[in-house]
Amino acid sequence: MEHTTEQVDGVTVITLQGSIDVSQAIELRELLGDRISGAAARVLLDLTNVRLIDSSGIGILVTAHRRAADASAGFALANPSEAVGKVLTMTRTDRLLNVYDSVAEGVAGLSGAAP
Amino acid sequence: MSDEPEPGTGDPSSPAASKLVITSRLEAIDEARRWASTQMVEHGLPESWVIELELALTEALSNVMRHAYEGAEDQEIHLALLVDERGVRLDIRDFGVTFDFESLGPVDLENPQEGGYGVFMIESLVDDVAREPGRPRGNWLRLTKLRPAGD
Repeated sequence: MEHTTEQVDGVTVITLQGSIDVSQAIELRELLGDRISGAAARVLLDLTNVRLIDSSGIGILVTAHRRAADASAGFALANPSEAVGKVLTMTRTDRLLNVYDSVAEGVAGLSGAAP
Repeated sequence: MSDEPEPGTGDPSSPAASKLVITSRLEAIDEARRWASTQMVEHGLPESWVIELELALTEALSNVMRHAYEGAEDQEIHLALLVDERGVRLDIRDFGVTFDFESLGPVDLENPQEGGYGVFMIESLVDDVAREPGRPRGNWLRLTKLRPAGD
């Protein structure tokens, strides 16, 4: 899965490209699992360039959210496209997941989160 | 007697439809999406609408690979797509284990899950879902998505 990672104000910003579907599910699960590894972890998934997300992808985001909550870490999504946002709404996972309108807002939200 | 439902006007099993055969590898889902997307875009359908059909196709193929072919990667999946003035009809035919969509169970939207959204998403993203056991084996699925109002 094509992605870039950078550190911004203590937040790991992972920017994904393309589609999140079942063919990339294992790679994405491992990527997030590696990054959400302790209470200090702050991970923001930048969805700006993600065109499509399927049910496998939604499942991985739910898993990552719960993993972060269990570890008292931070995990959030930023800037989902219209299509991705519609899937989050359709599955009502937008009620569970932390979703920010922009990467800047996501970084500010996560970097201010209590450790 | 054909082993498929009777063809009719605007039927993807008609010779006018575009056909594609893929193997049951997860990587082939992207190939199928691009094949379908190209034709829908050529017919002037809006991208957000196209993505929804692509997503329904993705979920349907994922189900075939997991439930009908149980992870085997060398089996055939036949796709037929017809785009016309009414919208898109997409047939997905496999020759694996016949499975019952209903047995996959409803999704509990009040309690976000780590899986199980596939059938729900298919049914939410298209206007009609028809399915039958394949004859003599496998599954036949038809997704119909009507053009957006005013298009």
